[in-house]
Amino acid sequence: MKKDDKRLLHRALDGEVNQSETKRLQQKLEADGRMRSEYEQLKKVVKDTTRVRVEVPPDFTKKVLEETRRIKRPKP
Amino acid sequence: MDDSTIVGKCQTGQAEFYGQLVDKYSARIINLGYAMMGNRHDAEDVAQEAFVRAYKGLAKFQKKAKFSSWLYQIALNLCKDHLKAKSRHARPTDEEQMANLDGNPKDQAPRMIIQDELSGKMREAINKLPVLYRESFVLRHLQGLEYEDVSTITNVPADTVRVRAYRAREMLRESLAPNVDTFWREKAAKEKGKGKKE
Repeated sequence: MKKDDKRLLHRALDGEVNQSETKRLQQKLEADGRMRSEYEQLKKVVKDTTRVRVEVPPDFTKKVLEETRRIKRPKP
Repeated sequence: MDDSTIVGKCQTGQAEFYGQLVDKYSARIINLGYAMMGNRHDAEDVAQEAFVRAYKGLAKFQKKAKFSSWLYQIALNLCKDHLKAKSRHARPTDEEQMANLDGNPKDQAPRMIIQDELSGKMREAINKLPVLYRESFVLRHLQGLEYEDVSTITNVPADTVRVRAYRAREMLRESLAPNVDTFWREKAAKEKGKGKKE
């Protein structure tokens, strides 16, 4: 894939393409199966990233505040 | 109350307001650490340390800056320090811990929201990224920050951050979907072969 096309894919993933670029991208995706497949995979990578998460322990804030109480209060 | 007001109150001695900032940013900072280091205990320890350091530094904090960017900077530096020391005092990643369990559900991490195969693979793949690519990718996509904000936090020009995030995406794509690339390579080779015969 050409460097420019690659860059266009990534800018599209970031939602940074204008109307004419969107149209150009659509035409390229329709014509090029490999580019289409890479675009779909990249979209999936970005989407699936949001699944990598853990919960905050319920006592987290309490623990932090206990620590901060042990140190001198910040002064201006 | 916005961050700047809360910071102002803390700076004038009303430290009890600091809890509001911890509540607001704890999920983001813990998850930053989790994506950077791959272990939730390390992520919680680093996040706690980041909030304590930020509290200690509040007196010097200039209100012109964004509290969140400053906090991210502190946390990210702590993550990097931890990663540097990791080879010496490593805790296993959650993936490695899960592999060592004997299958007793009581032993399994109770606070994991997602422990499915896909998120495990994704986390593993993120952990294999070079640290500089990983930080740009995680701040942009897991934390949902704009490139300009990532640039402020990492102290790297926005264009560089952008290129690093692009490369990280490509590396993740290649590591998570290697079969698809093979398919296209083989297809291209076949077509080339056909062309030669004709």
